[in-house]
Amino acid sequence: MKFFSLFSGAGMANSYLVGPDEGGDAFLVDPGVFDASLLQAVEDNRLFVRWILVTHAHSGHVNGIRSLLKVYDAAIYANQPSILDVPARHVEEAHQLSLGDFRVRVIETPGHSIDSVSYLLGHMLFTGDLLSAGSIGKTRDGYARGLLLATVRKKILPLGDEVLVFPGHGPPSKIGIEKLYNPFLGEKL
Amino acid sequence: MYVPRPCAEKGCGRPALAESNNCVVHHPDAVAHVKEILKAARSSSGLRDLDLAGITIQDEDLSGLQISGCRLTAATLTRVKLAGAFIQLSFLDRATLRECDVTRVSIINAVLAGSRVENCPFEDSEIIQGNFLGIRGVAVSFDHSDLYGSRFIGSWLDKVSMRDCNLTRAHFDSAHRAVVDFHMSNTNEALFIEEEP
Repeated sequence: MKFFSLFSGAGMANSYLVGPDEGGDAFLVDPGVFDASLLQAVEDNRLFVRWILVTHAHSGHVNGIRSLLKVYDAAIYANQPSILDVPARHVEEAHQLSLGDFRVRVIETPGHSIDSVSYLLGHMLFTGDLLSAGSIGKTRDGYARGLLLATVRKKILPLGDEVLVFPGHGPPSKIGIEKLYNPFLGEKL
Repeated sequence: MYVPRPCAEKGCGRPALAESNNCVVHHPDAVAHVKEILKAARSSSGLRDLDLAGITIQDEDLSGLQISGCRLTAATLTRVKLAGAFIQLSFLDRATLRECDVTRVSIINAVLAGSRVENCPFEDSEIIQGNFLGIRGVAVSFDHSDLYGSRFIGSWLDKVSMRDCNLTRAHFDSAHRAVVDFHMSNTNEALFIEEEP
């Protein structure tokens, strides 16, 4: 499996590109920007962006979609009917996406936004703005914060300590690391 | 990215080493096995997508090596030369690094969380979005390094030097800083309190 983490200076956000070792159809998580470095990562590795997975529809995570669709004929998956007016395939809790040889599980993780989802590929979890290294996503109010924390505790932490966390912002982590060092996860609901 | 496989030894929950069916404990000669992997890495493009959890490396020269997509969780590195190495999307959490030369290294989106780092110079390095949560760093110098977006949340830093560093979006929330020198670094761009992204 080829795996790349790409950083967008515009939204200070991460995008992730996943494709087969031998090249071919790939998926992209949260294209906040479509720039030369992303295009180079795709083309140099003989990949074709066939699927776009959106963790949530905030601009820093989706702004590259329109440009990307001018180059690649990709399907969008999101917990929204459309992204930037482009129709999306709806995802919800426990959906299993078959993206070529990749099997991706959808986990609804509301709190940062109502449409937030995480994507689990094997031992790799793409969390968007739900959870990052030592932090959690911003929330609108106390209710949303409680919902986010409850979601993390109920659905994310039980996935296992060695599950890798690839967040929308900041460095990667592991669930076990977050259990030990994330100061927000100790908050009372 | 490495793919975890369980050790073939019945009842063992540890991960199997790369190019082996056994973990570091149940491998008949883990030290020789790791030496072979490192020898091959030096003559090729480096370490890529390998599970090397729990290994011990001592007095090896891995200068300039590319390490990508690897797990070195709970590894012990003593007097290892990593100068000029390129470490990306790799997991060295709960590792121990003692007297290693980590100067002029590129660490991009790598994880050292929960590690113990002693007497290691990381000087003149590019450390972008490094995860240093909960590290225990003693006598470590990051002088003249770019630490953009790196997180030291919950770390314990003693005699740590970060002179002339770029600390933009670096997080030090809940970090215990015994003696940390930030001289000539842009601490105003770093976060020192609990704050959400």
